[in-house]
Amino acid sequence: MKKLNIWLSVLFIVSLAAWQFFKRSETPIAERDPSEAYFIANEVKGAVFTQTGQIDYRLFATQMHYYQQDLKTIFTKPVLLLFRNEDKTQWQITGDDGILFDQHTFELSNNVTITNLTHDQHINLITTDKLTLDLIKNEIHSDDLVTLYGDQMQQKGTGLFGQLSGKTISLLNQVTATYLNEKP
Amino acid sequence: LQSDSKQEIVIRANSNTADLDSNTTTFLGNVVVTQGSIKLTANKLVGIRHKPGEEEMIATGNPATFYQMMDDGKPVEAKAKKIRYLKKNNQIILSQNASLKQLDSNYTAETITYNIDTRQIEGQKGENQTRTVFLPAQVDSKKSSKSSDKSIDKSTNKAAQ
Repeated sequence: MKKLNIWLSVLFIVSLAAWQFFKRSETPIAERDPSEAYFIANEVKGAVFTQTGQIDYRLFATQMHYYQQDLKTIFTKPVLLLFRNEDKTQWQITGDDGILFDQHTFELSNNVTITNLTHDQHINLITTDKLTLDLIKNEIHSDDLVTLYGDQMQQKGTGLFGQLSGKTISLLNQVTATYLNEKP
Repeated sequence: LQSDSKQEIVIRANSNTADLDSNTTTFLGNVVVTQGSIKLTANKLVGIRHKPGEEEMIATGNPATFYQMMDDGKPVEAKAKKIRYLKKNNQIILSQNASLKQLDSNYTAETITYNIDTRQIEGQKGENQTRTVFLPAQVDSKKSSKSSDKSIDKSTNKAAQ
């Protein structure tokens, strides 16, 4: 009887080892590097709607990289078309680069332009190098040098705060405004 | 100077807020406005552009000051709590302890209206509304140049409309 027990226990140990051996050698599934873009899109044309179904903004970009890990989307040559002020004012905001954080903070940098598509208003173009757009509060902020252009008028200053839904745009310090005087 | 009204207006300030709908910009803090030889200083300035070339500026300060060099080399200096500059008819209206110095004579009144072209001064003495008009003697002596200036102004105004 003893021999049988020995044989059984040897057999058991061998099979256990074999099982362990084969399990380990399975090829591990390639984990996706989370820092890589989750998806990349080219020639992007998008529209985002408010809860009440109105169009909130249209978005165009030559390229878009979405990073799921930190909920960040990087755009190349983004163009945003915003409908604000009960649609009285339409703003077109462009830049060389843009990053959308947590779905509502849009940071644009390099050659940022903000064009007021409603032409009868005081300010029709704003240029700066860096701008942060809060899509929920409808505010624009910048700490850089900003230039506002209007009809025969130009205003320069550092630091900008604007309410796109309200109707005021403020330059925060060292302001120089020039009202040209050419006879129309 | 006669040429002032054709120069560009430059406004410097600590900060400003432009109101999109009403073509109004409010400047706050160390406001300095220059246009040719005209210089206006204030703590706060509201600039309203009714039409290009027809800007209106309301400057308030403790006091707000106005300075302009005249063609005859003598400056006009004015002070008041509130100075309204109407570019269209080239007029400044000084109110609340207003004072204006021109050709070494000084006028003080509750409100002074000064026409930059004709250099005519109208002072109102507060409640009893007496109106004293001071027409500097020098203006008569320059009758000939005055009439030619008048024609220039008319043509530029027409173009401005």
